[in-house]
Amino acid sequence: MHDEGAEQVCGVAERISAGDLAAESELVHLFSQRIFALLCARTRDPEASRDLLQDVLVAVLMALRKGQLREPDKLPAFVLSIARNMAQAYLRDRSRESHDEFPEEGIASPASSDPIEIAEREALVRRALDRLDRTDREILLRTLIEGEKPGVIAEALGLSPEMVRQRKSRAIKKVRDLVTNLSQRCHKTQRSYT
Amino acid sequence: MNCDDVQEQEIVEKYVTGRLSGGEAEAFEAHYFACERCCEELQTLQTVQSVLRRRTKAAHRPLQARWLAAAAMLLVVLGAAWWAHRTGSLRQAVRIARRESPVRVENARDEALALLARVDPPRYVRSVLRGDGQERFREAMRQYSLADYGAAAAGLQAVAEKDPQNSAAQFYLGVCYLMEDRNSEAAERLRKTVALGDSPELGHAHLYLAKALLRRHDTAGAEVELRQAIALDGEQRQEAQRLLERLGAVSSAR
Repeated sequence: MHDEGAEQVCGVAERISAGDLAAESELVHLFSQRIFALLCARTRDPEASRDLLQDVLVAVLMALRKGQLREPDKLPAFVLSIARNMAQAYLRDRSRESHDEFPEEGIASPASSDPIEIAEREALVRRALDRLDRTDREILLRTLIEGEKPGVIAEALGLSPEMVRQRKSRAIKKVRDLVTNLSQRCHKTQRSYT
Repeated sequence: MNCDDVQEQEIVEKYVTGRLSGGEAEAFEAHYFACERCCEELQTLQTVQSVLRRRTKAAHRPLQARWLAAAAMLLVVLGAAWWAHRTGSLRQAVRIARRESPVRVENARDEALALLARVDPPRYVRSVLRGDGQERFREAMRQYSLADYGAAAAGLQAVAEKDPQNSAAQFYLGVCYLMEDRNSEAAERLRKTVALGDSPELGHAHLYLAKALLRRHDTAGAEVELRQAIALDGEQRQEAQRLLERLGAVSSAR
């Protein structure tokens, strides 16, 4: 969202306050994934995040329609603050109902709220993970799911902590690159059909 | 905060595992809201986390669920046996129960190889392609999902002719031919998939090519393909490893 992206964001805010409905769709497209990622990270509850995303978007659009954003270039920060507030409110409500069972974490993929995109991204990530060395997969699992630190992982796997750090960084980079490459290949294939 | 800080301090990883302080998390959020690259990285890592968590859950599925699965399988086998009793064709019944592809058998060693060459068609996950222009591929894969491999092969052949670089079409066409016992054509398509290089189908293409070669009694060629499948270390690795061990046992028993 740098350079021309920032200009686009500015324009969107102004157009929404002028009553342009197409600009509202643009806003949803621009921010949905970012908001959803934030909500998932803060609430650790993808299902609730899906509902909260709608609330955040509605709140942002209502405010923009009413012209409550005085400086259009501050739109990202404005959206961000509403998303944070909604996440906080949700966490407060949940802690009040803390006798209820805590939701199961991460059943749905939190990277997007679009089911097709979720399925695509998950398929790409699964393939990328399958191409990793078994030890690297184990390191990622222990880091991202068990929350273990490199020292603990190193002891369990008989490696040095530095080696664990290196392998972890390389594994994350490899997954990211594979996902990007596979995604580009898929889109290339899609284009060849259209 | 900038992209270099994010990389050097492993901010994304700490963010998704909840190890950032309140201030750090807010700084990162303000950054990734305006940064395409870091946002993409965050989404990828959140998906990795989700996929790994689901795999962990599946691995620790309660014993009860596994018993239910075993009971369901037993029911299928008993049903097949009953059907066999009614028709007098155990081989046919087992084939229906396993939905296996036909393999010609002539002697004991061939029978052992045929067992190794048996193919369970890989499940097609409709997640790679979308859009309006690839209806033919979708329709072919719909036939594939319905186990109508003849119809699926016809559709996939048209797709593969139009776009020979389409690894998915080449691969599934190869599998369809295997299911139809058209082993030379299967090997040809699977070789084409392999020749396309890195693709989502590459690992499985080596594995199924090995099976196609086994059906043609080319055990040496099959071994080469299985080793390639193992070296890629994907989800096909375990099956390729097992197959290679059994192939070794069959070969040494000659």
